[in-house]
Amino acid sequence: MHLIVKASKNNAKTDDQLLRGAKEGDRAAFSELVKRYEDMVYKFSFKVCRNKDEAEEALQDTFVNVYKNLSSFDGRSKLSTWLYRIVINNCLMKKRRRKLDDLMESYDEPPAGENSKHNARIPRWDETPADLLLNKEFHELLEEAILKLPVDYRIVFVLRDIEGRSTEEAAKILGISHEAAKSRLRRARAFLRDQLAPYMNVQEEAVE
Amino acid sequence: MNCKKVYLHICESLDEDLNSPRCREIRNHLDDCPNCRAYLDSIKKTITLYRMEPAPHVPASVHNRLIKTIDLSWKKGTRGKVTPKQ
Repeated sequence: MHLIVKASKNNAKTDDQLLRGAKEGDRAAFSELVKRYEDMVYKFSFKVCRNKDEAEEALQDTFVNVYKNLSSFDGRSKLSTWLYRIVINNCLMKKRRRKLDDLMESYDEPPAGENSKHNARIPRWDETPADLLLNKEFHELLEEAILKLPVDYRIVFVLRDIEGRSTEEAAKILGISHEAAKSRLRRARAFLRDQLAPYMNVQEEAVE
Repeated sequence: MNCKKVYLHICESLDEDLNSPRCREIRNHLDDCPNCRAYLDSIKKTITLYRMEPAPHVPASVHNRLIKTIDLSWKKGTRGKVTPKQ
């Protein structure tokens, strides 16, 4: 009963109040923080690792790390920023980072257009119905494409385009410059777009 | 602004204030360039597809294991010490 009352009181507390409580040894406050953020951490880990077992491991490792380092969190950055940082460190430790910067630099060139070697017309993609995602083969295609994307680029793409964080926050989380985050994001988007392009239906467009 | 420059900054037009000088330049270019328009549209659709992909919630068994691990760490008082993995 006592724990239930404590849990409902914690419900109404801000992250800062819960953090303060957890630092002072209040286990219920820490449990409330876990409850509040476990879904965010798990989903983000899953989107980056693309694997449920790895996402679970990252979730466990992240909160154990948070617990161990509670006293070092000074509250200057947002709690979510700190959590993302810990998840990323856990994910990166598991992934062998491939040096694919050379490949990604090729995405600084436009695929077609006036300054390109190719003058081919870029076809317009057809509207993509939501039920396309229920198609198993298409789902596998999305999966395959994002797994080919080097993990450092995948993280920026997930943070910005899936989680909806700003590029500035993504840069802070990763400890890179805003320009570097923008460049990774641009290359990641271009890479994924090119991977999907051969499979997208194109619209027949009237000649302009 | 030419296609190459638009290509390099087109993604920022998705993030930036639409009335910034660079965004206005990009918009002017897009009005006259079907290739860049098709490219931007395909980038937006790529993002939408990934955003629409479902993500799993924490399964109850995973949540329970996590709480158990934390309880164990708490009991051991391992703050600042290395915690063995469960």
